Amino acid sequence: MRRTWRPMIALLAPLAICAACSSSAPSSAEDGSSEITIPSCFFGTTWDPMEGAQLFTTTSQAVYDPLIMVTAEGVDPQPWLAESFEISEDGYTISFKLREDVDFVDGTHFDAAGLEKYLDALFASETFVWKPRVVDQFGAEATATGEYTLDIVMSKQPVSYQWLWQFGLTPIASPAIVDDPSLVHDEPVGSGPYLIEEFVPDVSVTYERNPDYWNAEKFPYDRVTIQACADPVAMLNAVKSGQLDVAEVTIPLAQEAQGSGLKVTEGPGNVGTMYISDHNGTQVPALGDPRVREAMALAFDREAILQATNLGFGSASSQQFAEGQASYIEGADDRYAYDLDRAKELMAEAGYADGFSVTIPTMATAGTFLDTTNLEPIVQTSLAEIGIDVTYEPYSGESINYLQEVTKTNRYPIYLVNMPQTNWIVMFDENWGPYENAELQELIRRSREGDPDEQAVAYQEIGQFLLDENWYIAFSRPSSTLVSVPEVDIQIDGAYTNPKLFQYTPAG
Amino acid sequence: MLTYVARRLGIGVLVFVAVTGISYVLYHVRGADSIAYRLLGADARPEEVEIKVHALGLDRSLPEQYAGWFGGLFRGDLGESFVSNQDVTAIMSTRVPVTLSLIAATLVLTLVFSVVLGVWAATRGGVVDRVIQVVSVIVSAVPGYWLALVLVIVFALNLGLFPATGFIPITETFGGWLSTIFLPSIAIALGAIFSLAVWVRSSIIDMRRQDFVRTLRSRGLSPRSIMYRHVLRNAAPSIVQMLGLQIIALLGGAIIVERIFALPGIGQMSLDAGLAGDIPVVLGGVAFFVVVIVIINIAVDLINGFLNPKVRIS
Repeated sequence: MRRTWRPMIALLAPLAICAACSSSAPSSAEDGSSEITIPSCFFGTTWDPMEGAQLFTTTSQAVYDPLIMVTAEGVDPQPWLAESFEISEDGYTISFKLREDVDFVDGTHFDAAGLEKYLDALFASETFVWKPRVVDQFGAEATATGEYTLDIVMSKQPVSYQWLWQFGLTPIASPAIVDDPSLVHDEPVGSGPYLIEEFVPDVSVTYERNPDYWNAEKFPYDRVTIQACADPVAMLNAVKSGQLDVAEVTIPLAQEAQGSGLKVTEGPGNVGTMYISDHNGTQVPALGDPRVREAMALAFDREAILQATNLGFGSASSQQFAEGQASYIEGADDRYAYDLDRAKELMAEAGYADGFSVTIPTMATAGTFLDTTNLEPIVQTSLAEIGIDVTYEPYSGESINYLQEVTKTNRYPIYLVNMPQTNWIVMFDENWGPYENAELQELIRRSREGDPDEQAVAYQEIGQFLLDENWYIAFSRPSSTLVSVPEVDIQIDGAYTNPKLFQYTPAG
Repeated sequence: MLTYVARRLGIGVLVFVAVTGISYVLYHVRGADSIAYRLLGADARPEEVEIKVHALGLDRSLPEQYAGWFGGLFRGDLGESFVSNQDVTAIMSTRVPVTLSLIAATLVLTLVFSVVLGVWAATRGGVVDRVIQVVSVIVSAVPGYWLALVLVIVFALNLGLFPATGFIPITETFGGWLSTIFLPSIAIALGAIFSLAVWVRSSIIDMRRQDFVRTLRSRGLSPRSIMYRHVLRNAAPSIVQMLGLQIIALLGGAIIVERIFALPGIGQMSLDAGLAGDIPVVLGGVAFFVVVIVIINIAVDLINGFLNPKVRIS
């Protein structure tokens, strides 16, 4: 008998050997210093801020500083390398007062002359990722006005929220790289909170504290490792086994993580939205009647939808914009709370008691916010309750034109979109030209011009306009979910779900 | 023999051109604008798309683009990533060792375990034989990704015996490398181990019925000597052939398993690049897998030639 089972024992021996070799990476260092391991899906492989691919990703936040720090839309920019800033009355000039105690890692002192030299080169670089939106659209030009003061003057358009947001994502590097671009081929030359300890391109990067950093107390961890993100299941497994401290996962996985004793931090995700492009009633006259659109908004049982499709993670709201966004209207989340009786009354008042038919295109660009397959049955069954018969047909155009169609044409009377959490109403207008509605167009114009207070008012009015008119009917607002080990807290500002490096902190 | 190898290499080159060429056409079939939009995001402006298309050289004709890419191969240049602007060769340089580790470990595990189990089943018969055959059917029906998930849950998360994700290079520590590569390799190899074990078992049983084995027995050779010096040696060519086919079939599974175990290998790189529309990186991955398949095929042929003189002559 013993001879018979000898091969089995021989085969299991390697398992035991491998298991003995295994060691899990600890999440805190043995010498008492604190460390954190986080994933990043935007894994920069170049340290050159002028390279097209270089955004202000988590990997570059560790080694570069921006002039102003914008953590989320609707959240005021924080002073960073600029101690303070001021926008002129006409909105065309933004004046920065720079910090005087900052040095780049190559020893170059940070001052206005150097910054002007760097920004001139950056703004002229054809590969600078924000060139079209930060430089060309605004006609931005930097001028040093003193040793530690610098103005950026716009020649085409006043400073807007969007400009501040995008400029806040622009890393500031040493001016020395202008004369010698090879300096940033292999390593960053910034002023950031960390220095690179080990870098495996596209796989992982480990940082240690920059001992000379000017804002060290803002960054609680002595050592940070960033790993390229992987499949959500693999990332959750890595958190469970102590290899990662944080991971962004899908909602079912977040529920599983909660059950395993991990911490789940929710942020706003994409919003399931129905855009009634034929709001003038050209193709389907019923859609031109505001009472019909209101009836449609009332036909969605958002709480039930949230529970059924997202296991309760998220919030039920009648508005597209999330709390923290500039166009979010306080107290309006239940403006169109589920009320089938009232919806049917409105349909009858509008002369459509027997309902009508409508055709909606379907999109399935997997993994993107254009994938609307999860919304289709919700819309069909909800609208059927008030007599609206929805027929789906595959979208006949290129997926790349879909969003443009949403704003520019009404080839279909209704489109479904999982709207991303950006101020897309302004973004669409900037990208693809104006909406045909004069009132909305004026609001969008005001949201770009004037001082920030006036812009904030305009953003609020945009939110109110869309809520009143029911062009966009929101019916599903699932959360994005970040899972972390109990020892790590994550702060999410406003509508932005990718936390900055300093927003990961030890629990408590 | 040299002519034979040269001919096989020639066929390999043709396969390489055909597969990469078809991949190239398939990726470009939706047009340059579509590729640029995928890279820039659906909210990109038309003028940004135009700049991107020109910057990436996507406004050139398809044959011109492919010829440029193929010409670069002779200089060791696989182009630049559309997403990160990094050299594809540099991106692949850190990932090739991971996937090669996976392939090598899978190959070794499959060969060792299947031969041991096959010989065991053929020589012992009875319960052992029946168990191996039943397990073979069950394991063959189980998808590799499901098996991978089960292995992670049991051996990494519950028992804590292995890391759940990641890769440690063999140059760092051998033990670490082994611990990170063992579960993924098992996940890929398990189906092949049992399929091949059944094949080995059948080959051995067939071979043991041959006249020369009876003659060897009558001359008083020990069963062990007959098994390892004669039966296995004569069964080896068909086993090697089958092993080669199994390994090639398993490469597809490696892509998924790399993802589940977050192994930064060529499979995961290709999958991510495919989703991002990063064509040069995808083609780098395709080229790698084609080269591996061609090498495995040639190796199988050469080993068969070594084991079986009749193959050499033909």
